Amino acid sequence: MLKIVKQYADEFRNLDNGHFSTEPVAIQNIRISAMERFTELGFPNNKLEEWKNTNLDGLTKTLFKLPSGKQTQITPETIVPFSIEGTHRLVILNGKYLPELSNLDNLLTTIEIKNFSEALTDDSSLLAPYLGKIADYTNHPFVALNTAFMDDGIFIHVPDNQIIENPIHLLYISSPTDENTVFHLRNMIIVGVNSEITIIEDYVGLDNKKYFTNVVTEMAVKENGTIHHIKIQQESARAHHISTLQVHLDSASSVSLDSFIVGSSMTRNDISAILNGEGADCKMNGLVLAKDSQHIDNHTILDHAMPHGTSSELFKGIYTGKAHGIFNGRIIVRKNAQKTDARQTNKNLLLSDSALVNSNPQLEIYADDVKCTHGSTTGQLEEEALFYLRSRGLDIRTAQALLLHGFADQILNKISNLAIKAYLQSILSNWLSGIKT
Amino acid sequence: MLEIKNLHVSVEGKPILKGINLTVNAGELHAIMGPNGSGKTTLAQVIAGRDMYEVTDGEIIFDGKNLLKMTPEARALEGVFMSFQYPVVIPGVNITYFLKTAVNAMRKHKGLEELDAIDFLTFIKEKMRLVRMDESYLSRSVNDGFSGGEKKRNEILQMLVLEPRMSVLDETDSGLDIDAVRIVANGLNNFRSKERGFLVITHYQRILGYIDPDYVHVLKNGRIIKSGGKNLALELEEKGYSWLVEEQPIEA
Ligand SMILES: Nc1ncnc2c1ncn2[C@@H]1O[C@H](COP(=O)(O)OP(=O)(O)OP(=O)(O)O)[C@@H](O)[C@H]1O
Ligand SMILES: [Mg+2]
Repeated sequence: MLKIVKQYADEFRNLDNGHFSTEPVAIQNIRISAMERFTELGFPNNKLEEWKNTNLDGLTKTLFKLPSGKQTQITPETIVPFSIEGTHRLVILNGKYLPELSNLDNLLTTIEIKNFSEALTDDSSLLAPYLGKIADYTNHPFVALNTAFMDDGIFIHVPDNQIIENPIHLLYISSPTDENTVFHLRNMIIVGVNSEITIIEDYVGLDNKKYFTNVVTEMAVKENGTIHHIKIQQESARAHHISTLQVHLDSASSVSLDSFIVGSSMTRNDISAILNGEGADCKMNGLVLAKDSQHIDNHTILDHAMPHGTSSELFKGIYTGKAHGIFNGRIIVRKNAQKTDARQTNKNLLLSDSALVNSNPQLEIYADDVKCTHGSTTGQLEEEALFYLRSRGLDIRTAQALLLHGFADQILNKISNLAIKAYLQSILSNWLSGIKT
Repeated sequence: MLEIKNLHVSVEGKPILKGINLTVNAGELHAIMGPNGSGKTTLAQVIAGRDMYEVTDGEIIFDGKNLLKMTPEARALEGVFMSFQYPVVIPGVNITYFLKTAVNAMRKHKGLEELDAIDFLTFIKEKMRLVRMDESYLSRSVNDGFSGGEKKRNEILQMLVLEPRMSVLDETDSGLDIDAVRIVANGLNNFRSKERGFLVITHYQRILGYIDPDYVHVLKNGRIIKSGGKNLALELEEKGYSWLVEEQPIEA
């Protein structure tokens, strides 16, 4: 066993004897078996196909400690730049839920929403069918590590026949008092029959600290239910962000998963949807904005298990400096999933000679009556389009900015909520004005 | 106003234009005709500043200034406009935003106050009526999903809003239906003035019938092999290009 893996195991044993002992036994057992699994698997390495382009030295050479318990002080002003109009906000600061900066208003009358670590004890029977079952810890080292240590996060349960109008903004702010802190955040979102909800998972780094976010989000949507999920990753430039987002779709349900990634020094996103009921629909969109020596790895899976499912995926990236991007998009159409319609597109812009993208679409089709398309392009800004704009009097910088905005707007325009779109626009504008082209 | 002298241009080392001499004075409209691949688009793009075309010899002077030394945007701001034979589709870039940015860049250059969103909309809607473009285009991306004819009208719209002194129109009439050719020709005629010059590249006599060129030139194999009045276009329509022998280029 690697020394670092053993250190995590030791840390777990210390906690297990105290902190976790008040939890239901079933939960404790899940933690223990997850920790066992993690010690068996260890950290992934480049020999594994799924990890071949991502170097994890930054994570495996340092022990990241659990939050110290000392809390950074923030005021309502701190979060003003991250407020999105018309949303309910829940704040998690350095891995700990902050009720005083959260506003649930009247939400609690219609849905159940609470700190995940409380739900582990209070709602264990509601959680049990999903916990560790949507996000499998037996094969994913970071999910195993998270499951062993899972702590605060948000648990949301929307009962049947409830349309929740206002989006819920989960704001995870990291500004740890000690460097090399790890946050094992855990979220679960269960949406009932005919219900609908919009969730924003927003990861923010307040300063230039080095820390490690290891988050797992499990979502399940029942028959004819809808989830709009928007993930925004604007971690500190020195942060490591490892995220696993998994969703199970029942029949006729629809889910959109939109990812916006600007932050961190290293990111690995595993986003997967299993279309487990007939006629489910999943839309997956992503925008990566990467510069300097950022390393952004997106692995997506759209797993069609039942007939008449539809999925469309559009992942785009703008890379400059020495940034390295990975897009690995897998579409699986199982034998039973006849009449599936799956589309995938990956488009990348490289603004510098040293930027690099590995794009790897993977289609695994076991049914015969399906429509599946995929396409991937990586290139520079189109010279012809640039010339067209310049020939109308736009200077080269303005022309480039317009084209880059246009490239990114195709993703932003998928967001129908105007306040969320405006929030993302400002992140985009900020990023674009900060790069050299 | 525009003087092209002994212009030689190559693409990827291959000579395309082999000594073009042409002067367009203010108030004049010159038509250029010629077989496919003769170099008409190359000439238009070189005037507008496309850098993939390499000028190996000669010069282009616009109002006494060396055009070849200027960036494409500087040429546009000085008053040179080129309507693209194949207008570029730019998904995601809103047409209103693009036109407003271009118009305001031009106004700024002329020392005029920039138009705000409301004034710009009034301005652009009036110009759109001239080329019979529906206001619904304003919410679309630049040329994205436009039909061939719609793209060409959009080019003319851009000419009308940017108000260039020298306009080079590269097959703006190709792909237009019969009514649209008349609409575009009318738009062009209304825009003509004794301060403005035009170079109209076309394959068809139809548009020339509406716009009444002062000169017609035939470009073949990278050279202007014949120049004449508007009757030359009629003659070409009837006889094609093969009867014209390639004369030696006229000395500049
Ligand atoms: N980018 C390029 N690479 C290689 N050859 C080129 C390029 N652009 C133009 N050419 C060549 O230059 C010659 C002239 O092309 P040009 O487009 O100027 O012709 P044209 O007179 O406009 O023809 P048309 O009437 O068909 O529009 C052609 O032989 C063409 O193939
Ligand atoms: Mg041409």
